[in-house]
Amino acid sequence: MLSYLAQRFLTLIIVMIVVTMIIFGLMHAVPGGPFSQTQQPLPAFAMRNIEVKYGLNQPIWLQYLKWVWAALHGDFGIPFEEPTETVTQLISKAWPVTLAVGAWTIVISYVGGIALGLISAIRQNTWIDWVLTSFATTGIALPNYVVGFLLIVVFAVTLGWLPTGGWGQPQDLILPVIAFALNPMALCARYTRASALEVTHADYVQMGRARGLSEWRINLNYVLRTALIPLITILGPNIPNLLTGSIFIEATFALPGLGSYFTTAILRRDYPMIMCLVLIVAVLWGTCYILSDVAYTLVDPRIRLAGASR
Amino acid sequence: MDVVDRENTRRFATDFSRRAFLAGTGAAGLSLLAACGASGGGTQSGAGTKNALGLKLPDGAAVASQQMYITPNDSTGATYKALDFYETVYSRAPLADQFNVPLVRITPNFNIVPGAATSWKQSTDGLTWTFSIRPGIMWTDGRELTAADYVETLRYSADPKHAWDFTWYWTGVIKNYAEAVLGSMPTSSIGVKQGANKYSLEITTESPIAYMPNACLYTQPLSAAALSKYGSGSYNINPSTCVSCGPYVLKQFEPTSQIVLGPNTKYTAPFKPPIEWQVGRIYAGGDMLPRFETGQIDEVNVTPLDLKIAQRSSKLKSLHLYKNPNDFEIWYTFFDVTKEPWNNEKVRQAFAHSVDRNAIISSLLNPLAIPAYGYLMPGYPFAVTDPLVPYTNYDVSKAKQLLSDAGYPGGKGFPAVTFYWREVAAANSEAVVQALAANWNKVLGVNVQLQELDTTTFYNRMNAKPTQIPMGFVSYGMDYFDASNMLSVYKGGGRHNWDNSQYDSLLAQGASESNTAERQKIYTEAQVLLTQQAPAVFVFHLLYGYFYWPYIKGAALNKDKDGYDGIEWPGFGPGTTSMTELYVGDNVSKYTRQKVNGVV
Amino acid sequence: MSTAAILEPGRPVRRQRSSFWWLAWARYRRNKLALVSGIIAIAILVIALLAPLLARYGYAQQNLGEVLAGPSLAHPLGTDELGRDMLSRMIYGARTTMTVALLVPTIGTLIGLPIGVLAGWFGGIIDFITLRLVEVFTMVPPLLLALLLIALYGSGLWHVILFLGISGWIGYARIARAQYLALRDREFVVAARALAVPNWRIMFEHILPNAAGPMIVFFIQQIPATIFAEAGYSFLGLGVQDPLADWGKMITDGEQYLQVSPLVALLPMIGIALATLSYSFFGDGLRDALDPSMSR
Repeated sequence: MLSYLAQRFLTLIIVMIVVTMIIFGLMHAVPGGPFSQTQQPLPAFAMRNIEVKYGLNQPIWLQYLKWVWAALHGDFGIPFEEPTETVTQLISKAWPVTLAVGAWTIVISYVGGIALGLISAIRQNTWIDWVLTSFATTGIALPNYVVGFLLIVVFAVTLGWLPTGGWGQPQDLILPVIAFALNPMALCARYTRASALEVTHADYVQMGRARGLSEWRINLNYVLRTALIPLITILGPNIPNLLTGSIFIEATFALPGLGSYFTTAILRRDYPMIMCLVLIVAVLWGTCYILSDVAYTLVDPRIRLAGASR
Repeated sequence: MDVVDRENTRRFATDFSRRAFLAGTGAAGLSLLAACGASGGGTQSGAGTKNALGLKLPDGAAVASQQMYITPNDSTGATYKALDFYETVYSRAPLADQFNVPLVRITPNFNIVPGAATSWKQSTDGLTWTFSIRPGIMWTDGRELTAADYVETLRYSADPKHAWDFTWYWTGVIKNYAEAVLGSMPTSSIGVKQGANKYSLEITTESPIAYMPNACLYTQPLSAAALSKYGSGSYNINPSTCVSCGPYVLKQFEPTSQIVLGPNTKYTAPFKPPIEWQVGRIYAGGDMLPRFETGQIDEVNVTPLDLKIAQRSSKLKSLHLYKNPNDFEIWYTFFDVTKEPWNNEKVRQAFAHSVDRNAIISSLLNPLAIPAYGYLMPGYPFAVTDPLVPYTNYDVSKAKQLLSDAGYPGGKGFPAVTFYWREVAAANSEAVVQALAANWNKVLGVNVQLQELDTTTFYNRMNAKPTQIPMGFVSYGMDYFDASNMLSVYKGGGRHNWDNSQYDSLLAQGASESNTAERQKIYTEAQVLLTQQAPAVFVFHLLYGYFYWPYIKGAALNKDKDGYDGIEWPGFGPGTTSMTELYVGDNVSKYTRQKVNGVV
Repeated sequence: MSTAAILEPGRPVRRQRSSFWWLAWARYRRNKLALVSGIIAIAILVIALLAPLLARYGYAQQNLGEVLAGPSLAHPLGTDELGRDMLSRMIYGARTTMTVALLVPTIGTLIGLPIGVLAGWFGGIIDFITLRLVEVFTMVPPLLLALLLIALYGSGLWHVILFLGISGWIGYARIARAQYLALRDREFVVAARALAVPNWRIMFEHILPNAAGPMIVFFIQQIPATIFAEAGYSFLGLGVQDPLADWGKMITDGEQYLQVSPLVALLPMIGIALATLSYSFFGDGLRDALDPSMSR
């Protein structure tokens, strides 16, 4: 297992190098640069001065190598979007907000979603199942900014219980987390139901019943265990997703988080910011994929990963 | 990480606030505050008392500690790099340009009045303007504001290493400026220098420039001493290094949440504002109206849709809608006149005559737009309307005739064309472009298809030479208050590729002509030429709508000579007279105003 | 089927297979909710197909004199911000929306499923390459790709369908891989292998029905996700452009009118929810019907 992990992390680093190359080329290939949003076309000489100042006149490969060299020294540059801080400062300020919202969202949506999904599966094709399925589907079909809007209307404006948005007090978390959690919770419930049903009728579960194991023990030991495989596959990558935030949630609730930068950096062609965010994404997702593969073997020891070729 | 951000360009979850303002508890709070406010003498009025800048507060004003002005800012798509014009123009943060006194100031009626300069005069050859600077204006570092500050600031702006983003503004105006930006001459050779003494500033131009005092609204100086010490204007984004000769100093700079300015207690210029504290709240998108309604901000910029929403709110529906042209925007459809079918003047004229401006405005923009027949908005210097109307009015039969004359009777044989646009919520652009396209398709029988682009791509393609957008929907707002500014957008080699030597020579004449009546004649001719040749279809001029809570008071909000009101372009600051004429009224205690973190 | 095959090895496999689908249909028919949902799902498709016959107005037909109007005889569901008939736009919208919503996950499945099955079943170098591809595809921001695509090939509905479909293979591949990893050493597979059943038949006839549950859920969950993604890309210039009616775009554009004229955004939301709900119950019914153990 250890050598397997070492091999995976090593390949992850190689993948990351390839990905940064791809992104670096890609973002320069996309039309427009960080300074092409002016109303009037900048005179050519003025544009040149700007390009020289930011080193954008150099060949791409040289810019890339310079970026790699600086990044290896922990210097990710200064974002064009918020140039009064370094990329590192900006991210270290914005990410904690996103992480706080994301962590609560993960806890609530996964615990709630798995519980609802199991209930749905155990009470399959009863009215409880149908109500829960309808709820879950609505949760999937409603965009989270609409949910956020409705929450603000009900709880902030009409009832006046919670703030319309902002950051700093604990109650600022409540509405964003609910709005953010609804969709993953619904997803979680749907997958739990589907995979739980795959196994409730399987032979070994029936065998367990025959052996006189109590129903809850069967549900917990057999059903949940196997049901976890698709949960890990699909909901695992949802964790980095939730930890990097949502521009919609952040805009609706005026949260100074990181989520919006994933979009604005690209739209603004903010090269240093794009590169740093890509690294974050790469590390998070790469690790997540490795961990989910490891988790398969923990959940179901029959699963073999490395050298399983036949 | 959402896949795509809709928010960047679009207002989001709008919000209706039926929240009852705490009017009842407000009354209880009033007596409590009165009990605490011993110096207030049992009232909330600060009239007659002095604020931290040493100004006696006007009648009806709240106490000095309440003299705070909180404004909303949307940071989506914006870059906050500096607080000074000469550091960057396009990447200025909210509440920029408050740490200085420009040479001149502007009134709500757009008259130029003395600022740091008490007087100015043009030399007999018309090439040199001399400004006399008011002695005794002090920087917070103890130095005096002199001609050297302006000289060093303008030289810094031309420095190729600084790579200022607004160099076009002085290029061709100040002598040798273009050469300095190119790097072929040192910045010390530009036509800006100290005159007879340290209070005299001389600006030499390439040709006689009649509108120089107007253009000098953009002379917000950096401190020469601080500039040489720190090497750039970014010293002003740090409260500990900020150097100001304006009424405010920097207290907090948090580009993702708020920027706070406090009173400059060492302020010595004669333009003292009642407002002690300015807070620029910064939001990365989201809807501003509920933030206004719940008392987070004192004013809000409203769209036509916001007005409909406000109609349903008991708190907002009674508020007065302030309207003004802000930067006199023109919204128009431009054509690439070098390409088929737009190289045919008759086709362009046919398109111009088939736009039902009134219908579009009354359904989609009312009451925050007026129809446009030319580039200049009524109220802008030398703007005319009546002479232009016959060349672009809504006239279906004329439009059809023109298209037929161009060789496309009933739209037959007319190629399918793509109409590019980008989302701008304030101009309701998504609805407007659809109405325009439907209009053309219906009246002319042509096939106009819409294509949205993100802002960066849009500008990048439009500004490319040759342009990559054959037909697009854009706007332009003024940089300074003179016809030469807005009209120069259509100058040959400028933003668009309509190249007309007659138009260019009219603009050149107009810029150097000092007789107003003559200038009017020249600019009228230029406007007629532009509308008649129709390199663009002018659709509407945008009005900006504002709500202020009734405790925001003062002459700055009053109606100007054109009947517009609210704080007008260029906004609240040392460059405008509105700064000294705005205050928080003593009725503020009746309203809920959310606390600002980090303000003393 | 696998279980039955193991328990009753003497029965001929061919007959088993034909009765498998018949039994599945019999099981599906018994599930009333699934039946009704299937009918709704089909009805939406029929509406989409017959849109020009059903809609009273064109989707682009404006009336600036009648913007954001409430329901009336002329416009039973009111009008939108440009005075267009909402009912007609909903009907035309079904066409665009369902085209995107069904084609995108289908393309994703067609690409992702075989890759994932091969990676999960064979492991080794195939699995290694698949995982690297998955990683690279995850790490490259789709937004950047979309911007480049527009620059190179321009916009269009088919462009966004292909773009979303092709970039969506990762999910299907990962699910398929995980399911095959988990199932390839199960008793019924081992048994089938012992009976010398060819690899491809074990993969697609024995394991696939047992692995289908999460895949069906994922496919159906992709329906609303696709609709919103496609609407999001349209403002970059990729995908549905005005004035074409599309439920996702109608929500993003109409959402700002929720307080003034709620139907403009609510109707497409109801449309998407109804479509998703009917496909969900349909999918659940399908899953149950395909699950051989359910017959007991």
